[in-house]
Amino acid sequence: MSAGVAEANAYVFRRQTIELPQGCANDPQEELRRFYASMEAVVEETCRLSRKARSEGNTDSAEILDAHLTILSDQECVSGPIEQMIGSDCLYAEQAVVRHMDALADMFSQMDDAYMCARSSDILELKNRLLFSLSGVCDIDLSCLPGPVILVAEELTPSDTAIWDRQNVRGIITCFGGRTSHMAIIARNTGIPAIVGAADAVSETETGEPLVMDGESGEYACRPAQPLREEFHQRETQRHQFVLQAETFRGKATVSADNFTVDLAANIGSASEAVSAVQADAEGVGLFRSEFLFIGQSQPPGEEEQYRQYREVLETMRGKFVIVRTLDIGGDKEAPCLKMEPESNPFLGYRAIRFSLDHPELFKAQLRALLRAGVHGDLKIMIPMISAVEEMQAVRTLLKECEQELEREGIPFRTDIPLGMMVETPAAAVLAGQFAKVSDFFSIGTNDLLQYTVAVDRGNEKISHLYSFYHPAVLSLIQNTICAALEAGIPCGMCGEAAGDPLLVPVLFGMGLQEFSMSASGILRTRMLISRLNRPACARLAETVLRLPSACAVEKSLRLFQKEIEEQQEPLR
Amino acid sequence: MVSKKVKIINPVGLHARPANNFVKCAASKKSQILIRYKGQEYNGKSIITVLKACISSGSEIEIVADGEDETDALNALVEAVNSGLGE
Repeated sequence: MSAGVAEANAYVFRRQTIELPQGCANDPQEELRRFYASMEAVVEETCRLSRKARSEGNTDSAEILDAHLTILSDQECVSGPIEQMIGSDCLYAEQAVVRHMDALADMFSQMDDAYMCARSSDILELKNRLLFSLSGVCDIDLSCLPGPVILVAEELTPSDTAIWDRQNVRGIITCFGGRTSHMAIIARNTGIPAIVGAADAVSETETGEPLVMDGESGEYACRPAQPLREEFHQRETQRHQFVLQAETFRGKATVSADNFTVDLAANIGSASEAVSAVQADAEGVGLFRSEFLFIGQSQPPGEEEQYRQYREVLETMRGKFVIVRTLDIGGDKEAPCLKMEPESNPFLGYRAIRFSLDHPELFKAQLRALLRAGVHGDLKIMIPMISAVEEMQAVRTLLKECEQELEREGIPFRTDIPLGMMVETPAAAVLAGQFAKVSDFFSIGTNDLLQYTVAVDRGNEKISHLYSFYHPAVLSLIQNTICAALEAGIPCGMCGEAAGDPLLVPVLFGMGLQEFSMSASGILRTRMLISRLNRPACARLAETVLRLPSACAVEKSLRLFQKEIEEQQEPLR
Repeated sequence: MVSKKVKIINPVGLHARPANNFVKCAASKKSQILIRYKGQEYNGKSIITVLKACISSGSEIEIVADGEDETDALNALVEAVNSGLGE
């Protein structure tokens, strides 16, 4: 979550619980007075914390606390309704605060937006602060810790991290929270090793017990024996060495031990990510997800706007290839500006090329922008979700139309832009030989190909154990696709997580994959891995795993191979 | 009562920090502040109301100020919106 190894004594932070008064309040005036007093106290305290955080350079916390102040001063939606409940419903101040703030938090948590959901936890935090103030109970003070500690808590709020004794916080383990929680963001920005979502952490640990934790793997151990402590620290050292070693591959071509060259490219979603791709030493962009130009916009971007963005990416990449995937909307990606209706089975529905072909005006604006941008670099167009040969033919006809229009209008464009397709439906993978006749290149989209092949919704946690790239059925479809491309003489790449998976890279290389496109951070380590591979050994590995019965067996075999490669490497160090 | 139409230019819309900055600015004025958006009226001094309005980037809102410092309030808010609300 936030990487790094930490070792210190545990400091378990258990929030006090507050007993709510029962029954009816008999003096509404007194309850109102108590409510105002607590409100004032919380506002004052929040101001103080925000100033303190800001003076210590903790701007993330300060901003969150400022947002809390704005919420607290919301007469119409916060204090007003609470006052009214106290006055008319004979509630104790505590009861009114809980009832109203819970309802508000509920409303925010149901909104379909990560930012709004985060507001829900802000409101619950303010509720607790008001309750503490009303009850006079003091919360545990994190501003004065007994020495260097690993904080263990159910959850830490921005107010906790605003006042905490930063110098002594060596690590953080919390039971709740995800990657985007305040806690995770603050930990990453401050560089404190952190694990979030460790459900049993609070019940398993006692204050004062020695703890060792690894923020990268998410593992931790109470009262660790000497060998275990050493293992944690050793892992950290190894990771560091690994990064340094991978760094020596910067600026080099990607060549295997037996001199086969492949391309390592990055997946990006915006023009600014192209900069990260260059920094990560990508040899091109294997997937530019153009839908991110549409998501979060009130209007679909027009031809000019798209042209500007594609051109920017091409110019950033300075002549390296850029594969732009046309609008891939639907499934789990929504763009309100396209006004698509909800469907009961969106992954099998009206999405990607199916939507684009049905909206020729919108699609042609994108194709025209791409043709025009093509003048500024090595651009290729890739069509998502192809399941029928006719779809590719229809796209080619539209592309021709766009070319003729641009020609007539005297607008410069590139004429020979390669038009390829994603192979991400089992139909396309099985029939790859036919598709190779209508496509200038293939790029295998493993995430969707996998979910369609094993019939597993990749967002459904209950069946996530069935979602494995190592499934032999998926590997067999991948091999079929690569073979068809090789036979037809068209390039074949892969974009999607599998292309950067250290276990799978040798198999893909063995099958003859030409281009691997992954998140930018994986490029150097993949280049290092490929430098240690030999094609014949990898081809044998591919043959072996294709004969295995299950994902589990494949994974085991791949781990063995990985170990062999690492062992061969040992003497060279 | 004075009013003016403005376009929300910051990329996230009237959301997050920009919403906060808008409400802070509105709250510092004596006048009543309303936002008209898609045929509805929202209290410009209430952060929760403004967030609930879900005003997206690129959309047009009408700011209405009513009270003793209405001209000053309207100018300040229009300027804040046009300068991107601190984004």
